[in-house]
Amino acid sequence: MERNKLLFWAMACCRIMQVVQVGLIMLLTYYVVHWQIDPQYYDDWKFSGSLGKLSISNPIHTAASEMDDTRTFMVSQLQPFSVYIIYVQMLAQLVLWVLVVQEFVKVIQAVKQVQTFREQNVKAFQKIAGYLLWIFLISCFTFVAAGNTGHFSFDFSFSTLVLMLASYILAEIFKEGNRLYEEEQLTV
Amino acid sequence: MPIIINLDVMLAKRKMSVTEIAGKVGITMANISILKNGKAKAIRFSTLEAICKELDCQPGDILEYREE
Repeated sequence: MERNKLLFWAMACCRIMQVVQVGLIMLLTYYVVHWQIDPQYYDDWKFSGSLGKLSISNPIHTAASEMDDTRTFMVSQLQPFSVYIIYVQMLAQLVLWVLVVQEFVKVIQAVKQVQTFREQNVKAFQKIAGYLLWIFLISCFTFVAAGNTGHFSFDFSFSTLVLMLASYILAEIFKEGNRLYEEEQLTV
Repeated sequence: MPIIINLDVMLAKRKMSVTEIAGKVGITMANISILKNGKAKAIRFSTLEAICKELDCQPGDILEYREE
């Protein structure tokens, strides 16, 4: 009974996360489309480059007055292609997170149906690890071109890497479980 | 797998059908089929004992090692 309750709450959390993620995708797309129609609306808006704990930055043009530690840029100064790059980067990450949650939901559903150590769950964890690797690769660089200043930096998100590693380990555990299950099924 | 199951040979020798042995040993037709087709990964001593008892034979009459 406790197990079912836990799975129920895990499933509910996943569904809420999916709704939030889809909402964020729509919101992000709305802002980009609106920015193209009415760029003046965003004149006072600021954009902060996401920074991880480990950061190697390489300013393309040195403009000491514009390059500060917080790496905050006025949206009005951003070059359009820079906005598109940021948009595609964020969109890809959100879509990949939706897919990660989707695969996790499949695993929870399989566990609920007492189909835990099955090939499909092994594949689901391998897919999750693959998606997390892509999220890590996409999120490890930031490129912002504002005015005559370009900023390119590498930010490594180790939490994503740890999650990816955990997914691969879980995939291996489930693969072993699946092998034992199949062996048990073929024991007469 | 180099272990060959000669269950069908013993059944033919004893003139017994698959359904009959399955009923007497108490295992399902699906499991007998797995055993006969050589898909089984393992066999329990209890199953082997029951088969040997019903067919009046030795485990070596049912199982055979053949090098690949």
